[in-house]
Amino acid sequence: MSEALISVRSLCKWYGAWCALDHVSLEVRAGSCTVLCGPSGSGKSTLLRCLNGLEEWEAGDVIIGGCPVARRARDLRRLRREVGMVFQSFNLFPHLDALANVTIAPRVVGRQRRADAERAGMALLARVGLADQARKLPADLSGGQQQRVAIARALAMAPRALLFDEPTSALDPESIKEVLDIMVELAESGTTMVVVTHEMGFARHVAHNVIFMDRGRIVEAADPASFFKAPASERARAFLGEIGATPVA
Amino acid sequence: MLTTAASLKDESRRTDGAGAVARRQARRRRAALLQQLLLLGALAAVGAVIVRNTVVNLQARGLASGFDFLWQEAGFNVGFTLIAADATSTYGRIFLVGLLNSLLVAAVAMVAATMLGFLIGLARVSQNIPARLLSKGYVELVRNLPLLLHLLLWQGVILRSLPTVKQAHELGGVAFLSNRGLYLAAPVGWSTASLVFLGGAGATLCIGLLLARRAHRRQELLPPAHAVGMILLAAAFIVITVASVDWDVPVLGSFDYRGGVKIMPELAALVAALTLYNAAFVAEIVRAGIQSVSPGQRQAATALGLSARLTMRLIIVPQAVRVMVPPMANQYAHLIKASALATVVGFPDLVNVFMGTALNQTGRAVEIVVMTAAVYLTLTASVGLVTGWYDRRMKLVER
Repeated sequence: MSEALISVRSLCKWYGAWCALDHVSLEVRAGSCTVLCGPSGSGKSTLLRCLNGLEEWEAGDVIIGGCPVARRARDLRRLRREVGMVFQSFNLFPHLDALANVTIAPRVVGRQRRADAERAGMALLARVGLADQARKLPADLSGGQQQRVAIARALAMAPRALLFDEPTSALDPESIKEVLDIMVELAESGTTMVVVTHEMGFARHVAHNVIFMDRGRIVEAADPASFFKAPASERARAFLGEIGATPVA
Repeated sequence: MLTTAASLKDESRRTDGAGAVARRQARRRRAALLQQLLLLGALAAVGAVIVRNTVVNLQARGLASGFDFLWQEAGFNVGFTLIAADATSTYGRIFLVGLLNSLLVAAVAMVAATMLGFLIGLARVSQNIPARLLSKGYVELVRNLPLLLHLLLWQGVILRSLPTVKQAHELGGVAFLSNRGLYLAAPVGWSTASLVFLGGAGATLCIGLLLARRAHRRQELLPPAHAVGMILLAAAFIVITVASVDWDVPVLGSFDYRGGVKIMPELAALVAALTLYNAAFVAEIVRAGIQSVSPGQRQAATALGLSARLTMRLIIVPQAVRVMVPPMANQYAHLIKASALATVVGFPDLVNVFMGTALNQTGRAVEIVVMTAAVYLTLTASVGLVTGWYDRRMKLVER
């Protein structure tokens, strides 16, 4: 059993009077795939965005690779190089082509030479099956292709963990499969991943841990087999029933 | 058999229907064409009446018409000229003097307003609270006051704060500042050697800029030793050039300085007012452009570890500029037209010297107004053409 790469200790966050995260604690082992699920407004995206400092929190600690996440801008920037992020709405840079989207961080933040960055970028695009689309602008790519470029972009800084914030929620069924295939491949090759998703098939077959959240609390954390077979809490049972992933009796 | 007949009949009715639709459309097209022709005819008639009236009235009052006055001697001096002109110059030359003065004011104010407006616009969206409040205060104060007020204010401030000509501020013996203007030593008598030295300075700077640009494209920095060397070389060339040229230094006569170049305080007041006023609007355009970029773009750049400064420069501003181009074109057109307020502060722009003095002296109102209007139309139309071309090129890149 490898040590925890990411640990969250008693994290609390409020939006005014609304408690978005209520003493959330969790551990993510290196090389594991964790799925966060739960109804909307349950705090799963907020938790994910705390893991790379995109959100600020009021109390508690986030520790990545043994270092607590600080509030200083320079430390945050160093942290973000260690943790890549994929967004629901892709957020590719529309004025840059696919390759430039992938290489911008290595060139500007990692200070790599253009030729080196482009060679590595082409390899990443090939990994997500888009080597032939390198010179296309995001507007000329399908949703699935855009999300795959976004995954390549998140991988470009060779992060120690990847965060996915509902990566397939803005996609049509065909594109969902393209993106999920890449994510399965990443998980199988030992990438540390934390995924917020409603794709219960992915959670059931690929995840090592499933964490169910509701109203800013972690209600249940289990391995997928036991979570889907017999969810311990009534709320998780109701949630699985609602999204049509009924537990196999 | 019966079904065939029925379907045939159905078919023929459908073709009938299609024919009726086509006929109706043709009738509508003819009616629309007739309406347009009638409108054009009416406009042409109104135009003809106006032209005829003008000609008849001009003849009745014995007023001459035509453009021959452009070759006549104007007989008046202009306070500030970019090309040589005096009382013996023709009205054509006066037109050119006014045109160049207007262009100078518009060009300087345009560049300065864009740069200042960009800075203020960036401050409007910065994380720094004092910067945000100050820039907001500036924008709200400046853009809500009439341009005329700005002009009179700056004219008053500049003229009153400067000493009289007898107590002019002396700057190193080559520049003199008083309420009559800024007098500068002017280079005269360029020798071949001094031109060569000037060329050397220009070439050094050009090579330096090219090298820096190439390094920038490769996302590297020019080696500091090279940069310093280039700057020193260019500075040496400039010093030699300055030393090798004869200078016409202004000398205080009994009433005023003589010699050198004179920059009118009115020019400074006009440029300052146009710059400060338009910068407030440019700042709002910049702010709107930056805020139009989706917040997801900033988040994505932040998540990649880009600093706030790099995010702004590489991600936000390039996308914001596309949104900013059409309203900027509008603002530039406004600035060009507003430069005609030069008359208020007494700066000899095109409207002041040509549509003012020249028109009063010659009485060729129609010709002069048409020429002046044509200048402003051409200027604003070319702003539209350039920005339209830029906009299309950007769209082509983004698709």
